[in-house]
Amino acid sequence: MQYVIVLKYGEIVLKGLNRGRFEQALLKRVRLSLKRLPGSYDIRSAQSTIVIHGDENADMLLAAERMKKVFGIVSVCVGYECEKDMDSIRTLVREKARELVAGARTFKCVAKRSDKDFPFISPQICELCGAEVLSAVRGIKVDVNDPEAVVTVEVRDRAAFIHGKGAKGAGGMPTGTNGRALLLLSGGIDSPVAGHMVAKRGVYISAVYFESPPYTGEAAKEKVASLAKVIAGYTGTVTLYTVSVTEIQAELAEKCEERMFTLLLRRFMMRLAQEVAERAECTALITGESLGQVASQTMEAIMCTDSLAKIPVFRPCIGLDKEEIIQTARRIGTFDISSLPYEDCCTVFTPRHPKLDPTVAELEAEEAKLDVSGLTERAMQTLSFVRIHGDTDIRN
Amino acid sequence: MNTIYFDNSASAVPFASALGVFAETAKIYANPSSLHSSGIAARKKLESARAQVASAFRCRPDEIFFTSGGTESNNTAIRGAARKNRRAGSVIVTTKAEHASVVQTVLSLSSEGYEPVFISARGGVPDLAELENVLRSRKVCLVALMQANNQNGAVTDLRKVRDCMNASGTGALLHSDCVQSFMKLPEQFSGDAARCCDTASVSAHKIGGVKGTGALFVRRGLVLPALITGGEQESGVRAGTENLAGICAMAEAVSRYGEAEREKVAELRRYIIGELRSELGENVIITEPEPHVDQLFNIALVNVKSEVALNYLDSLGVCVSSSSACSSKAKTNTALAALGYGAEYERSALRIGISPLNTKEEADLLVSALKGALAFKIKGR
Repeated sequence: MQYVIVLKYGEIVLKGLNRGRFEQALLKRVRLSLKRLPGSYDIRSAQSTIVIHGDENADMLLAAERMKKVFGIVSVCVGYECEKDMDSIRTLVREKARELVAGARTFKCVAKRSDKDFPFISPQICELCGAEVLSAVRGIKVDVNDPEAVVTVEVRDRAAFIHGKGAKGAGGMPTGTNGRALLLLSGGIDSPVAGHMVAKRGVYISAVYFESPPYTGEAAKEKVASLAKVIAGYTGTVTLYTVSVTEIQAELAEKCEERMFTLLLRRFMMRLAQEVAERAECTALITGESLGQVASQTMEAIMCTDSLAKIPVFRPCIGLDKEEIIQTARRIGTFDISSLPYEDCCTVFTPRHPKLDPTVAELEAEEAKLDVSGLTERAMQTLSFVRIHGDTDIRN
Repeated sequence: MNTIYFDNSASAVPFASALGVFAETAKIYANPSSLHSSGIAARKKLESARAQVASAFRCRPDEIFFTSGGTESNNTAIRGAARKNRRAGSVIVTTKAEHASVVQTVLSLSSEGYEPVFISARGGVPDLAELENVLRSRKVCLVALMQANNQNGAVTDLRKVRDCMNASGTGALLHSDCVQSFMKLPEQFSGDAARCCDTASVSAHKIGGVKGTGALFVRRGLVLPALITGGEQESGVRAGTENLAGICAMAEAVSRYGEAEREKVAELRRYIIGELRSELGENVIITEPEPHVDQLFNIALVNVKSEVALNYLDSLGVCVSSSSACSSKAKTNTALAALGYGAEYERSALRIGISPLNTKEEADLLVSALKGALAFKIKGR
């Protein structure tokens, strides 16, 4: 018997008149996520739920794994479907009881009856189905307060479904419902987390990486591409832009005060990122800054970089501790990649004693020693991009 | 862009004839353990390869056991010898300059009650006074010391190590990682490993063979417990159907690597070092331990970080190593640190690995690329 997948929406259900637009966006993301999997899938939505059926070639377990990364979905349940009559439901529960409780010592039954015309009310469904589980699984007991397993029966408009507890979905809003933003992706731990946090709110992500050959190499670039691929696993595709800042770094090292080096470079990155954002049709920037984490992320330092911003700069990690950022990085799968040791362009010329309380005026005075517009323009001439898809974990 | 390859100590360019033998032997599908005539023919090839490798190592064919490479050989030897010789003691003596497959294996034996003791190896050569001290004061079951250091090519005189062990009256066994020295030693040291060691490791892809093949020398009379069990191949020391193609390619590489090749490498080394001295002057530090194997040496470009130099060279198609390739993903290179050249040198260290297939023109391109890398000095950071 083939599985069915039952997906529950998140906060889309709270939307008013434009709810349809969000539902359509979510269905599109679900469809795209399943596009390159083996087999074909029938995707239907009704009553704040998406139900997926697959043909005989479909890999429903792999499809369910994919669904856990679709923003906008809060839970992913894999289960079975049957006719909407009590005998069929009881037979199916009896047949699948062992699989649904999977070795648990205690369980409870939960019934959801969205079809209010169904002749049995929820407590009756629970009682009848619970009895089937008790007779099919030897030694199992009912525990309604803290069960190890949950057997859910949903009686919906066209059919009934039974499934286990279900897995947590990615939450958030469907990708593409909240515009596009450009992530400044460094290869460190924080920026991919920042990208994921904003992507979760329905934002389509592009990314820019500032390389500095030969101070940074191919291995560092590969690492950034791997991080972009993890984010693309959630959003479908990430366009990764690369800009070389080698000439800028060399000029800074030659002409400017070493203590201000990092901030001057970050100001250049802010200028370049905005130009890239314009080309990429992004209307905001995302950085991984966390207040006070390093010298270039003090409030004064952030003011110095922010003063150049003409579009919003989102800093979702701003109030997070490093440990909290690391936890998220581990959960979304970027931590191990970020921990690879290759140089990124920020660390190559790190000053021994960076200035902690810089002012915009001081930085502008340093910049007066440079041809800022010429350097920016030449750096933009090195711009290249690659589209990174998040779908190569297909098992066929 | 042509590749100018000077990373032959990480993995050497294979000899064309070795690749030919590999492709040809891969067509022999019969299992060397089978009793039909095709199997017997395969076994004959295997034994003739064994004889070839044994003759180069100056030992008997029945003392050579084929493995998947240097790392497996080191694992089999160290784990096997320590367990075999447990009665002699529980201390294993080695140095931090050894390859990770030695250091990590020795450390992992701590969980079985063995105690690692690291003696110093400044310049890549173990301190024999320290060794003697440990041997006299502790109950040692195994001494593991490499014959040629993989960072700077320094050669350890295994005869002196054996003399030191004999003088101390220890019952310890001696293992040597000979991966960087096999086929490349100056004449006065050749045959030392077979003469002095109880076990020794070699690898095919460092001498112009292919990856996935190596050998372990085990002195006749010493029976090691197997690391990989499940068959009687290699006299029970290493179960699994033999990698006949890789083994025959290894034998071919052994036969190709002769005195002329060693002389060619020595000449290229002299040439590169001479050119570096005259072209880069004070900007390059070259470490030349004596005695050494000619095919590898270590340099530092003053104030140019290894990774930066590596990236720049890579952009020109020139390949070298920033450290031993197997540990290049580790943030600090403890094997290099053990040589005692100092943190500043380590930050800029590069390893040049020469093959007899390299040319003088390639050497010129290497030197000019290294000179170009000086443009990326970062002082004091």
